[in-house]
Amino acid sequence: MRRIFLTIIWLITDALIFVGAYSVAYFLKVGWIFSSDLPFETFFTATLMTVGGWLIVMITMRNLALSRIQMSPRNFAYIAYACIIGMAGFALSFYFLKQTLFSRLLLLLAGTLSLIFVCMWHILFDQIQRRILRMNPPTYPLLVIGTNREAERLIEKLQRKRSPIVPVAILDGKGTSKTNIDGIPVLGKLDKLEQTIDEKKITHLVQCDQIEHSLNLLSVCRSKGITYMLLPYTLGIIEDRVPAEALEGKQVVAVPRGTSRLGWFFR
Amino acid sequence: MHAFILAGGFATRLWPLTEKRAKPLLPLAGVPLLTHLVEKIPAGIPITVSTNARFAEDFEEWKHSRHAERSEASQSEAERSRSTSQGSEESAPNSMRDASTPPLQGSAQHDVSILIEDSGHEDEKLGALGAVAKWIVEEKIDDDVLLLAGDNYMGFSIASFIERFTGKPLLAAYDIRSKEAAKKFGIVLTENSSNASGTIRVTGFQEKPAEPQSTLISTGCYLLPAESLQELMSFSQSHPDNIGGVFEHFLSEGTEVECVSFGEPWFDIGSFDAYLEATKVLVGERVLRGEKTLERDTEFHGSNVIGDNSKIARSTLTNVVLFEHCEVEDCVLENCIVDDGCILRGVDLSGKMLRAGTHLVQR
Repeated sequence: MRRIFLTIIWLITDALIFVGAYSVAYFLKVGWIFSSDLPFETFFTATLMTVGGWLIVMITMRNLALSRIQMSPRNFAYIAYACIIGMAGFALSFYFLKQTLFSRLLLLLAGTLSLIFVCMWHILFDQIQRRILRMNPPTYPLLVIGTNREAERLIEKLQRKRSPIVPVAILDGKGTSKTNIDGIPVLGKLDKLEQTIDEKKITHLVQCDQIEHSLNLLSVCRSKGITYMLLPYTLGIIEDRVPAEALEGKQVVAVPRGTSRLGWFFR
Repeated sequence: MHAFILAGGFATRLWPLTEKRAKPLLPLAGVPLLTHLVEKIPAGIPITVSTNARFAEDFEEWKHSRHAERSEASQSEAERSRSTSQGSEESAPNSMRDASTPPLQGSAQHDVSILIEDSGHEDEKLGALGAVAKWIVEEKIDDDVLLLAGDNYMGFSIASFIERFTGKPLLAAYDIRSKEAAKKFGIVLTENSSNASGTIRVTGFQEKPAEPQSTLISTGCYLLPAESLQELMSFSQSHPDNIGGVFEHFLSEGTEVECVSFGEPWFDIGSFDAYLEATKVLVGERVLRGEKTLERDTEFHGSNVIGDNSKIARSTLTNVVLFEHCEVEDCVLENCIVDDGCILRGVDLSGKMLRAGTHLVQR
């Protein structure tokens, strides 16, 4: 519920920021006097016509996704793509309304401001969102399967980065002498799986060890509507980037051979 | 004599098969493991099955269904006797077996009681020896005790084991015939020759040794004379989970310990591999079918068990145990154990143990 509410707020504020950025660009370029050659009313109407499409582009690029790290070059790139499409959409809308084009510099300024404002707002909103989603009880309680070092690293990272997906319990198929990792309790072996899921209201499960149990963990997750995640390390993959790709439409987990940065685009 | 069956474990290594059932109630060749064990205990010996609170209801249900089956079997037996005397060849109903499967050995009526340990999880359990000690105290047992591990399949005759009892602590040992395989078990070291009663004097033990001195391993079948129970109880206070250790303790205290060596199949059903191996030995190269099973265009290889109400179509099964109410279509399964209610379509699986209700449908 918290997440739905936050997403609605996020969409509304993003729309306001986009419209605000274009309005600021208008006043900066045209000045505080409403121009008769470039009426604010038409400019504002074109912005309103564009904002819906721009939001759809933002959503389809998963810029509002929970798992997206907002302060990352990748995220800035996606927001930039969306803002460029926003500029194009605005130019088209304006042309349809006025049958004429206008200052190219104003368009560039509006696009640049929308990019800067949206990026800044996303970084800020992400912090607010994490704080709200982590409030007790967390919105996304995570069950960790495994107590190996990879599981320890993951838990430490989730805690340090104040992830909205909060580890709340650990189970280990083999049994372990560890009673907790980074303050997260180790509750026992997999025979306590269903009980832990029910008691802790688990929404996400991450498997860090014992690949032989993946089929059954997936089965539990499917039946209880839980998001299942698997650390690539469990499959023996130690590479940083493990994209899901497709072989003629069939999904595969790809471990690319060492290629140049440029090669990444064409592999 | 009183028999005490230890069935209080949580069988975490057999997850997910033991997610909702106790290991002794796992069907082995279509029959609960515990039934195999109980049927081998000679009639007249009262049996106590010790379990934990989590599976208590299942054991009570097993007890009642077993009682009902027994009554039905007795009735059928009586009817068959009547019809045989009238010249009819009709056979009695049997829950799961093919034409060549022999019925379970023994038809003894047993007085079975269920003892519930006050533990709902592994970290709360009393320990095997702790449970025995508690039972001895609470039930004021002053008789010889036949102690059996509820997760063991014993192919040898327990009656024959009891016959060799000379009043000294006695254990059943199985010759596993491989020192490599013996490394995973408790080793029994004995004198070379057996005495007149057919028992061998035990000289020592090795617990899961890196280099076993013998291939004779300790099974979960023990006979304790009434005089040794006090010693067992004091040992259990410091070692509540070390059932084999009590015999080592007897030796160190100068009490003579004897063993009987058997060559018949014996399995400790503690893992996926052991369960499948036991199934292969018990079922052989055939298919054991439950009631109301449906098969269409299916190939079977090796040992296969098909549970009640399961349907298989256009598939190849090799060494597969399919529990009840499963549906398998267009699959290749090899060395798999598939729990109740699984639906598999268009998948190939090898060496997998599937939890109840798993749906794997390739679209």
